[in-house]
Amino acid sequence: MSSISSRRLSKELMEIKNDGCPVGINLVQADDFSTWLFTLEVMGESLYKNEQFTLQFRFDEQYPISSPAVQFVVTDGRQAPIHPHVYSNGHICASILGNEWSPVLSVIAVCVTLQSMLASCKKKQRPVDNDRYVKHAPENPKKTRFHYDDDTV
Amino acid sequence: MARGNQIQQLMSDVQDPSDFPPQSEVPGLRLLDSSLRCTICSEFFDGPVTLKCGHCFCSLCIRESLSEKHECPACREDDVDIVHLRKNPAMEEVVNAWKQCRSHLLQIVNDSRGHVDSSSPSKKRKRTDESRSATLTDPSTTSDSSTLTDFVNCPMCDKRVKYEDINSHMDKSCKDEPAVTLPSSKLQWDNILGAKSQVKSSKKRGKERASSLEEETDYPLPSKSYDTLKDKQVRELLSEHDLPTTGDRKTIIARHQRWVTIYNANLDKTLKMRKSLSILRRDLRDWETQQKNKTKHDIEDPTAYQIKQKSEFDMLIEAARPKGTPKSNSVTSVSNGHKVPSNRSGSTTKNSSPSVHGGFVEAIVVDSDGES
Repeated sequence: MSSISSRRLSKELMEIKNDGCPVGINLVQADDFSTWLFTLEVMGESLYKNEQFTLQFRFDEQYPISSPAVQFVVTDGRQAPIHPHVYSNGHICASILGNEWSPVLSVIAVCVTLQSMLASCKKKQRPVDNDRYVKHAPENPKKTRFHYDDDTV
Repeated sequence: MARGNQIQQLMSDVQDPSDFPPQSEVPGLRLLDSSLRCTICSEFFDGPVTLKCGHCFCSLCIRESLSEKHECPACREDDVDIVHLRKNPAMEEVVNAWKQCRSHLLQIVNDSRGHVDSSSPSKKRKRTDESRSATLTDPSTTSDSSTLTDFVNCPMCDKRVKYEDINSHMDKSCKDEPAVTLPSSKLQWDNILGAKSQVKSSKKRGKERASSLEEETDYPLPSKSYDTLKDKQVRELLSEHDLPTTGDRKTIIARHQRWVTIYNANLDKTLKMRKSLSILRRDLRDWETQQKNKTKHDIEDPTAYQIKQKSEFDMLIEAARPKGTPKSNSVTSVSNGHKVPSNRSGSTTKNSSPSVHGGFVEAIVVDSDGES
C-alpha cells in the first residue's frame, strides 16, 4: 500500500540519497516510513561546537499535511542540546513543528531550521519551565500545545 | 527485512526529478521535472489549481491543507479559502504532455550521456532507468510488437494494462498516464461517445438531480454545516451519491466531508482527465480503510475499562508516588494499557508510533501548557 505519505517520504529519501544532506546533518536510520533518525551538528563557531545530537522524526499517515513529531533522542547516552527551546526530555518548542508547519516543508528543511536555531543560541540554558514540563510531558511532543512567545531565535 | 524490501521496491518504483542528470550536465531538465510537481505530494500536478498568491498545487492536496489551516503552504498568505481556488488547465496540459514524453526523453538523455561518459558515478541508476523506461514506452509503438495477450484487464478500473505493469498500475490506484490504455478503436469510440453523453447530461441537469447524479456534472458540491443536520439527513446525503450509510455520526460525517472534497477536487480537472464516480467511490473506500487503521478508538464503557486496566493504573500510581525512586522515569505514558518504555531507539520505535495510542492517553496526560 503506497499511501501519499510514504510516496512523499520515499521521494525525500531518494533526494537525500542522491544529493546528500546539508553540512552537519547525517541520515542515520530510515528503515521504514514511520521513524527516521538524523545526527545534527552545528558547524563553525557556536556554543555547541564539537557536540553531536540525534534527531528523531516520526511520521503519521497524514504527513505532509500534518507535521512530523520531531524530538532529540535522549537515550543510549545521547543528550538533548541545552537550549532555551529544548527540554531535557528532547522535546522541542519550535513553531514550525506546531502551528506553523506547512506541508511544503520537508524533513531536511526541519533539520536545517533546528540547526540554525542552535547556531544562533546566545546562552546555553534549559527552558524556564523545564522541570515542570518534563514531569508531565506527553510521550509524543505533538500532543503538547506549546506557546510560542520568542521569535528572536 | 520484508519492510526494508518494500521500501526498496517503492524507492525504485518512484519517479522523481533526480532521474534526470544534474543541472551541471544537462541544464534545465531536472528543474523542469521538479517544477511540474506539487510541493505537497511531490507528484506531478493532479488537477492543478492556483491560489490568489499564484502558487499552484494539486486540487486534492491544497484542499486537505486548507482544511487544516487557511493559508498558502508556500508563502503563508492568509485568508486563503477553497473558494479562491482557480483551475489551471494550462498547467494540466503541460503536465500531461511531459508525462507522455518523459520516459522517451529519459532514454534519449541517458543514451547520449552513455556515449559521452560511460564511467559516471550514477551509472547503476541509469541502467535501471533504461530498463524501466523500456517497459514504459509509448504503447502505440509497443502494441505493434506485443500480442494482445500481453494485456490484461485491471480488476479495479477495467483498463487494459500490460501484464507486467499491472501491479504497479494497481499500486498507483489506477492512475497511469492516459497513454497506457490500449488504443483499440472500440475503446476510442467508447470514449468519444461517453464524453458526448456526459456533456449532454451536464446540460440537462437541474431537474431530477438525485437520479442524474450518476453522470458527471460540472457543479461542485456545497459543503454542509453538519451541526444543523440530523443523522438521518446526513445518511440521505450519502445515499444520494450511492455511498454507504453505515457507521456512527462521526463516521458518516467524515465520509461525506471526504466525498465532497474528492468530488470537488475531481471537478478541477479537465473533463477527459476526470475519474468516474465509481472510481471516486473506490478511492473513498480506500481512504476509509486507511483511516480505520489509524483512528483512536474511543472507550465506550469507562467503568469496564477502568476495571480491566486496574492493575496498570495501580502500577502507574505506585510509580508516581514520591518515593524518590528514579524508576518512575521508565514509564512515560500508557498506550492501550501497554507500557511504553521511554527508550525508543531502533527496534522499539515501531511499536510506539503515534498511531497506536488509545484515546485514553490524552485523558491521562493532561496537556502541559509548557512555555518557552
